[in-house]
This record gives sequence, C-alpha cells and structure tokens, in this order.
Amino acid sequence: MKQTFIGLALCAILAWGVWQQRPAPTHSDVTHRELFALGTLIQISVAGDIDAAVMNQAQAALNMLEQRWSVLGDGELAQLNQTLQTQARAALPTTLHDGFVAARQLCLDSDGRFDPGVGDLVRLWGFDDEDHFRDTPPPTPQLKAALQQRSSLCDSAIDAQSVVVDQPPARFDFGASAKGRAVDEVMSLLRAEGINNAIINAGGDIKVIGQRAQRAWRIGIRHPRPHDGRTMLASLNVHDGEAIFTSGDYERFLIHDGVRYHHIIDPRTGYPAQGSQSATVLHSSAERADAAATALFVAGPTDAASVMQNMGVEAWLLVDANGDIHASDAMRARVDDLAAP
Amino acid sequence: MLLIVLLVAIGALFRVYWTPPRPATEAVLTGPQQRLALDLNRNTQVHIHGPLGDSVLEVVDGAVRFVSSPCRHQICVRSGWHRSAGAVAACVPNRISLVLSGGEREFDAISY
Repeated sequence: MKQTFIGLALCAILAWGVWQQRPAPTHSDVTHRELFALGTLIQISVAGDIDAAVMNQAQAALNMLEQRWSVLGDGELAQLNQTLQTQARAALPTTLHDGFVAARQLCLDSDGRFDPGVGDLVRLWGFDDEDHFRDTPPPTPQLKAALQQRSSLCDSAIDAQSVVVDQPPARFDFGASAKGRAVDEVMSLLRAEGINNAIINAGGDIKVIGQRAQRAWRIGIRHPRPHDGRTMLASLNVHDGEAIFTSGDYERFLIHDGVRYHHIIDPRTGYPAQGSQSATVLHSSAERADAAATALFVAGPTDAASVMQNMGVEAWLLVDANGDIHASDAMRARVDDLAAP
Repeated sequence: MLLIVLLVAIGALFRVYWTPPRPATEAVLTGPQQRLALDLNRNTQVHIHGPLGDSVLEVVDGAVRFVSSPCRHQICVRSGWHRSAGAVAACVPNRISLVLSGGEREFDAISY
C-alpha cells in the first residue's frame, strides 16, 4: 500500500514536471495584421488586440520609409542616385544622412561584403524591380564595365550636407539594410504607443518586443534546401529587442542553362555570391542584422567568423554551398534542433 | 513499481515532444478587392484578382499553394505548398496575401 502510494506520488510529480516543460500552445492570444510595404508582405503580431490607429501609424511610417529608400520613383534616394549619374557630389537629405553613415560603417566593418554601392550591378541583374526582370545573366562585358566603374560606399565621403563618390555614374541600393532600419523604426513606434509584446515579420526578417503570454517568441529558421519533410534548419526563442535576419539564395533568382543565379550580388565580383545557401544573424539592431546577414552570405564559410567578429555579431549561422552548417558558439547555444548537414 | 513509473514518464515525454502540431485548417486569401476564406479540408482551386491580373491558388489535402501568378519573379509560386498554421505567403507585385490559421502554430514566425 505504501509502495503504491509512493509510486503514484512519483507519477504525479513526473507528470507535473512534464506538463511544465510542455511547449506552450499558441491560440488566439495574439492578433495579426498584414500589410504591403518595402517590397514585401509585413506581418505585425501583437499579444492582445491591435489598435487600428497604431496599425495606421505603422503603415504610414513604412510607406514613408519605402518612398525614402527606394531606388525607384522620385523619393530622396532615387533623386540622389539621379544626381550621381552625372556628378560625383550629391546633396544628402537629412532624412537619409544617418542611414548613409550607418551603412558606410557597416560596409567598412564587413570589408566590403555589404556595400550599397552595388546599385548598378543589382539593376543590371534585374533584381531591383519587377519591370527589370531578365531570364538570362547580363552580358559579361556589361558586368565587367559596371564592376569597374562602380563606387563603393566604403570609399565615399559623407558630411552633413553631401555624399561624394569616386566617380560618376554611381548608384546606391540599400536593399540590404533599409528594411532592417525600417523594422527598428517601426518597433520604436510600437513601443512608444505602449505595445510591450509584439513581433514584426518583414518578409521573413524579424524583430520582437517582450514575449508572448508567459513565454518567449518562438522562431523557426527555414532550411535552404528542405528535404525529407524537414523544412526548418533550427528553431530558437527570441527575446525582447532581438532581431533575426536571414539571407538565402532560394527566393529571388533566375535559372539559365541549369545554373541558378540568385539576387545576392558579391560587390567584389559583380556576380551572385558563391559559397553559401543561407546566412542567419541574431542581433539587437535589425539594421545591423540585415547588413550582416548579407555580408555573412557573401563571406561564405572561410571568412564568416572574422567578418562577423568585425561586424560585432556574436550569433550567426551559415549553410555553405555544400549544405554544411557553420555556426558560432553563441548561436549553437541558442538554437534547438539544429539540422544535420 | 519504479519500472512502471519510468515507463509512464517516458510515455508522457513521448506524447508531449513527438506529437506534431496540428496543421492549419483554413487560409485567408486577401487581394485589393476580395477576401476569400479557404477551408483547407476541401480541395479546390480559386482565382483572385490583383492589379496585374489573376493569381490562381489550389487547396489539396490540407495544403495550399500559388499555382500561377502574373508576377515575373514567381517568388510566390516557388514558395510551394503551405500547411502550417501561421504560414504566410504573398504575391507582392499583385498585392495578394495568404495567411494560414486554425490548428496549432509551431512557431510565431519563420526567418527566411
């Protein structure tokens, strides 16, 4: 009798322990809203209800940032690029100044792996706009000429009123940092409006505030080559103020003669970066995470650790062209279920 | 008795950690002028109109995908089948979004 009682008591304790460890299910305690901006679908999820007025503010802020940083249309960056087609110096609007300064530092930190000075190359490849789509690689002479004449942001001079490039024509494309900057700004807006638990997902690039109903936000990292039913590379809990950004070769690309040409251009060669399938970075700054994910992808496995160290990124994860996984100790300590190569 | 306790504990752990999340049961398809709710348990094909033309989606055996879309980069079509609760996909140029709900979300978001 006594043994039975002890046995039942142990069972109860174990069951309670197991129940406490159970991943919390997700129900309708979070409200989701979707909107189009920055060339992608953005989902804002808030633990609790979403105030329509706050969503309208977020939409307005994103529209303004898209207009400001787009290479198309007649926004501030597009006008600046227009000037740099014929002149080495262009007026730098105050609205762009901080983004330019931050991006230049990131360019230097990455030793040119992240460089907004790839604008003409990206345009040549047709990855800047739906209307510039092409189904063959650009002719090699054109690529070589664009590579030779391009001006790196690393080498450009920035002061309070202007930016000066090596030589015109030059074109800056902030596609690898402006989205992160926008995510940071929208998260600041949400915090200022008193939202303490939220997640913003800008086409797979994510930043979180607070947590979700007594547990951390749970994020999956997509496997760049899903196989055998395995769609996730890893998963992790992401905490207040952290951003997780991934760059991969699987979304935007063209295939010609059986070769895949993806959209992440190596500023040093003018061709899609070789050596990586996907790169994921965890950092408190979404802007830095955005640029670092691109730099990590371009760096590939050989230079990954040194480039990430120079960019101040501790947690990173890279799948190389062979499908082998490389990760920093800080990232390995954070992720669960890291897929085998 | 100890053996029974261990077996019960292992069984409980197996039940908790090896049970896959329930997949999504419905999808909401939103375009500039339409909003369609799709029952993922009913195989069907739908057209939804956007500024570039019609995007075509199909539901088969609990999963949904873009079959075709009038965009040039075809990112939505390449994204393939979606069946997990919380999954999102979109044809951005045609302003069509797809959000799966119901079931149980394994993740709050996917980084890709």
